[in-house]
Amino acid sequence: MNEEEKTYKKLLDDLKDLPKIDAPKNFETELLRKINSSEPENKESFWDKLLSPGKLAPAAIAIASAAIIFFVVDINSEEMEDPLNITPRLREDLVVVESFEEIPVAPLKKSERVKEESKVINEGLDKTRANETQIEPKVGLEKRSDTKSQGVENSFSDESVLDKSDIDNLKSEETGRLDMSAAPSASSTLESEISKVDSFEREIKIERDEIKNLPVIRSSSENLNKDNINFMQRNLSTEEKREVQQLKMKVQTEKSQKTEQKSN
Amino acid sequence: MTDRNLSEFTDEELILEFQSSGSEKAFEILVQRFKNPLINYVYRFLGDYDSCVDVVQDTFVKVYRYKDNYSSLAKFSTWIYTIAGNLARTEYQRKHRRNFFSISSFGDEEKPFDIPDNSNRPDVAADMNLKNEIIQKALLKVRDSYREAVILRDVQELSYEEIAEIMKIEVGTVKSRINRGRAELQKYLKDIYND
Repeated sequence: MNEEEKTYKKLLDDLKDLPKIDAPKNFETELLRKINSSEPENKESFWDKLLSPGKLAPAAIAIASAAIIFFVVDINSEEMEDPLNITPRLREDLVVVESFEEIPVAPLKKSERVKEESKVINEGLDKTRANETQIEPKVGLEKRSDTKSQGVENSFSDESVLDKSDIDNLKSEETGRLDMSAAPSASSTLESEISKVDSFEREIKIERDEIKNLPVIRSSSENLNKDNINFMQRNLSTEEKREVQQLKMKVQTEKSQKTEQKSN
Repeated sequence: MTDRNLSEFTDEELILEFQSSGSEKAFEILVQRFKNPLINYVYRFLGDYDSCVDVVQDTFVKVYRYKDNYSSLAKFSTWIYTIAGNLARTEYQRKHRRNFFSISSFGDEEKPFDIPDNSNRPDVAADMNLKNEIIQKALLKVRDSYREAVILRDVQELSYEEIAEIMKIEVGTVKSRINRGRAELQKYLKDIYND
């Protein structure tokens, strides 16, 4: 016995002398009852649990939905492929041609061609009108008649620049159309296109000459004076006109007075 | 193998027999051997006879159900005391939690409130004299971990090594816990031992 046990000797003796507690008489029967009541829980196997109707129906639904999702995802998976890894599709409409003669060229419809030409011409005309209105205020009133013709010419020279761009556009459009119809490469259609462009240029020249020969319509702006300006387009009575004249006279006299005062 | 032979078996041999052949007789002999020591141990720990009987029965149910979990490397007594100790601790905490919200706020904050033990059977209560009753109440005031060590050592008279194995702690820790438990118990019982 060590010293610690000596110090607690009384306590330890009392603890050892504590009365022994016995189990109740029905301990074993109660124990067996507990064991038997807890046993059936263990006997239920995994497959019995899984195949019970309560779990079979939701499981079947889950499997069906999983199958549907699988097919949906599978269809989408083609779209989700890496575009860099996809092999390029073979174009069935693409025809490989060795010589220019073999190229099948679908001619443009006449109505379409006329439409486009008229469109270009209208655009040219609009631009010349716009140039006229821009040039007019810069030039003096006396030279207007001369400058107008020059303006028209200038507009035509501008138009010639525009025409070139239009021709380029046309060329590209034509090639585009040809592409759409059948011919794959631009080089193969060059000859036919050049001939078309030439004919188109000729037509435009004819149009220009016609425009040149048109009688020049002088704008009414030449006759415009400050006095004649009537923006409101009101028809004044004689009395009103008089009043207006009087007011104008007043203003003019006031102005003249002011200028005199300033000069003095 | 006859019944007489089985009763001569050690605890470990009996559980191995129960494991291998599922012999109900081997299990019954184990129940006969361990029911009273376990009842005593759990009763001293919980201080409530009814719940103590339930805990011990649950211990045997676990032994019956999980007999294959026992490894022959350990002593059977250690294994069954460990199961009973765990169940007793769980039961004590459950009871303590339930009483804490109803009673504990009136008592000392550090010490558990002294719950009067009304669940004792009349025959048990008659056997216990006043001194034993005071000791039992003092035991319940000692901290759980110290109380368990003190009961296993001083009431059940197990070795330090066995206690260390049951409580899954070092022998040194067992010794210190027993010492602190005894000191605490002596403090609560100073009125008896001063006389």
